[in-house]
Amino acid sequence: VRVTVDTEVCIGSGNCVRLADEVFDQDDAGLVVVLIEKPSAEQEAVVRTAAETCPTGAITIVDD
Amino acid sequence: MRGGRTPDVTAEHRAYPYRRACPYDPPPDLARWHAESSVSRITLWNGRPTWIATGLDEARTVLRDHRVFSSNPKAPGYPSLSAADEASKESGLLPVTDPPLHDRLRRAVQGEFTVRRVNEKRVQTEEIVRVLLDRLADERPPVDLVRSFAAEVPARFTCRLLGVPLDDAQFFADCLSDRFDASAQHSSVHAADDRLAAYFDDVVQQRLGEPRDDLSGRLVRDHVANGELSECQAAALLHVLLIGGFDTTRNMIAMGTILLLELPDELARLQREPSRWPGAIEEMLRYLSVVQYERRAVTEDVELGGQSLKAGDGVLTVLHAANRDPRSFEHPDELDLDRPANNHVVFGSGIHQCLGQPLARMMLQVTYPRLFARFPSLRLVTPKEELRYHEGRTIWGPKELPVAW
Repeated sequence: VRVTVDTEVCIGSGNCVRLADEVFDQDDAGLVVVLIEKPSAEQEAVVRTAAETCPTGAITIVDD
Repeated sequence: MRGGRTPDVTAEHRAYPYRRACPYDPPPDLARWHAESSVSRITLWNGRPTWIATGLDEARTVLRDHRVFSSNPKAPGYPSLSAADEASKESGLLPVTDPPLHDRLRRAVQGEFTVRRVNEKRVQTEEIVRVLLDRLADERPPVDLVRSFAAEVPARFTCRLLGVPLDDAQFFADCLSDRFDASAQHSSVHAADDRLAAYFDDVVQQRLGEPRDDLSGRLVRDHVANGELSECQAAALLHVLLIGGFDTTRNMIAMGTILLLELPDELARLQREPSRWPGAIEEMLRYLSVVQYERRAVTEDVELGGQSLKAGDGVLTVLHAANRDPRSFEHPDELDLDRPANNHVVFGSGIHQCLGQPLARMMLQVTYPRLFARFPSLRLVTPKEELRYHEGRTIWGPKELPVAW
């Protein structure tokens, strides 16, 4: 899978960083930064949770 | 999703249930109504009808769709929770604005609340808690834990964050007590709003004259000096950060302490296995849901939970009920400190989700383990059923919490 984010929609809640800080980070303004665009099979479940629970739906998981 | 149903005529006579049976649980009527429909109609204190969303999915839908569900108190249908609440409608603070203004205001301070910035403040928080616990140990029990500790941790933290003197904490606490007193007169609510607004107007002026590297100073330097925000908007942002910082965490520390004192075996296990604290705190946040509801005004006709909402209607998202929704949580009324994937909405959702949530989590993670380690014989002096709670306020918690050790 591949992770894409929309920084126009992101409100910087940090939800994704709290759940998966190896995949997501925040820039100085608090907006989401993707560290690993193609998460491993082990990371996939938590990345999906991060996408589902993002308060503004700023994270999208694209199946390869 | 349920099939279409017309609102029950009797529902018009349902008054909003402020009264709880147990201090941990939402009012029992809510679960009964929720079993009938995840969205239902109630009557507010002023006789006006409004919708309540008691389901997790429905509450989240409302909170995430800021286009259909407006946070502007001037929008027709926006629910009023008390006469005092109605008196304070004009304040224009961050939680009661819609985009694009909301986004401009929020983005000016969002960078202060990243996970990294919050983690950098952990050591400072540990020091605040240590000093307060030392001071508590010198007091003679019984002691009011709300006044001496639960209120002080977030108050000291927030003063330091904003860069305002700790000596002003009592002034803030007095203002906020008047501001959120559900039984207060319009005039005292207005006066409290005015005193806080004037205070933060002064802070902005001071920072314009004398730049400082604190949150207030950075807000002024990076967003006011260049004309991006007005001085008034910057002051209102500081004002709302103060409200968020002072009120919520205090009540969660107090409610969580009551809960854990009733579960000595669970508490002992958490202290032995401290890596379980963050997950346990998530469950306590869900179970206790000290932030009880958010409100929105419906701006266009929309279906929600099988009900037809019209433009000009109001909605309360009932967070404590949504966090006990049996369709979303297994055994929702049980406290399961190891509950996996705890997707609660106590911090809200959508663009208005609590700005300070990483701070709240960090503060709770620092506070509970140290409080119980320092006072292993801590106990309630008054049973939880006999404590006085903030009835009628949005945020739930005890007014006082007498403890001994």
